[in-house]
Amino acid sequence: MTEHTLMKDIKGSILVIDDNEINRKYVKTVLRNLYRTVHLAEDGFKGLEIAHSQAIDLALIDIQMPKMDGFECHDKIRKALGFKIPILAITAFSDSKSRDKFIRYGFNDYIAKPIKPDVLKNTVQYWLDELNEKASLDEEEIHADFDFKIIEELKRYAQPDELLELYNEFVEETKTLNQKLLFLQSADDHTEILSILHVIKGNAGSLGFAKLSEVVVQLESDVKNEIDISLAERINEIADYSSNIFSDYTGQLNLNL
Amino acid sequence: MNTMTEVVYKKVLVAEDSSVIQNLLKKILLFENCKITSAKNGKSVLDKFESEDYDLVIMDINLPLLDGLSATKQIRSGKTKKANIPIIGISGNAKNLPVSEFFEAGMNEYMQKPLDYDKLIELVKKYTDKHQ
Repeated sequence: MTEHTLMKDIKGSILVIDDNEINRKYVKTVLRNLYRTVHLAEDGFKGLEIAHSQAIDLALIDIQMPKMDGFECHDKIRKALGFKIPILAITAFSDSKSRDKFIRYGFNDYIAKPIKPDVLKNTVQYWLDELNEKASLDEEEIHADFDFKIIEELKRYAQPDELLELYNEFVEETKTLNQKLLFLQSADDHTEILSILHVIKGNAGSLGFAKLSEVVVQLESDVKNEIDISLAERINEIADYSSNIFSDYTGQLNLNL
Repeated sequence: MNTMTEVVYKKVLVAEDSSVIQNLLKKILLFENCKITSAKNGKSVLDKFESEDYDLVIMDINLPLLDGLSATKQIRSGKTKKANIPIIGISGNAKNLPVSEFFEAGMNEYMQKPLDYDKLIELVKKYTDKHQ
């Protein structure tokens, strides 16, 4: 099961839209042995035709193009392919401001010019893997408190007593962090709040506390985007939810020795 | 001494500021005969990297003092053979960075948290086996 995620995905079909012929050939040369098909288009109109007539798994779009620029092209291709298909920008802009702009606009990622073969290969493969994972997640629809797949995986790698010790450590640390959050909230220290949320998110997700991680992710993103939120209330909610779920996690997760 | 029965430990440097995840990785990778050295910030990663030889680095992006991308670039800028050590990046991607940046910095692989442990083990095998 794990082997196929590591093996290069030879069934992928990639669309490259770039007005520069050398760039197109370069990208094709790097990718052609790794994927089933690499379609090339010299402008957005040609690209759109291909997007409508072929099954595409990932699109690469050059930003600076004369007839239809990369942003307009993104919109049309996105509409044709849907929100699940990764669309990556190819760009000579590499300062962090324009980089953020692409992602905020709706591109999943960007690849900076001059394109390095390894960066291109690795980034394309990452997004194709991501696409496959999402497809399998959709089937499962996890909204439950726990992600049992992660927990089962962990049970294969760690002894029961070790695992229990780890979970206990996580629970104690999270309780302490929740206390800190409540305190920081009254001091209005957003930087420190964000860094604590980040730690809880990572720990909770890694140990299979799916819903806790999800709730924290949402709060982290709202604080970061300075969305008007009742911070005190949400932090209290997280603390309440945690203490609720921590009251019988060993039973729920079947961790008892 | 019979060297055939001796377990050869792979030396892995893990840069991660969460002690929960440090301990988790320690337990999981021990399974793969890895000996873990922990570093909790970017500066200490570089210190430990300099003072000993490792087979692999697992690097969180969001590290105090010096972030994982800068630490990776520093390792890659070295002039000795050590500079080519395999580096696996891991992150909750708090800043929503483009994935291409991790590869630009010189990481061989990148995994988003929560970690897929099966895949991590596969990657550790892939890079440490090649190394021997």
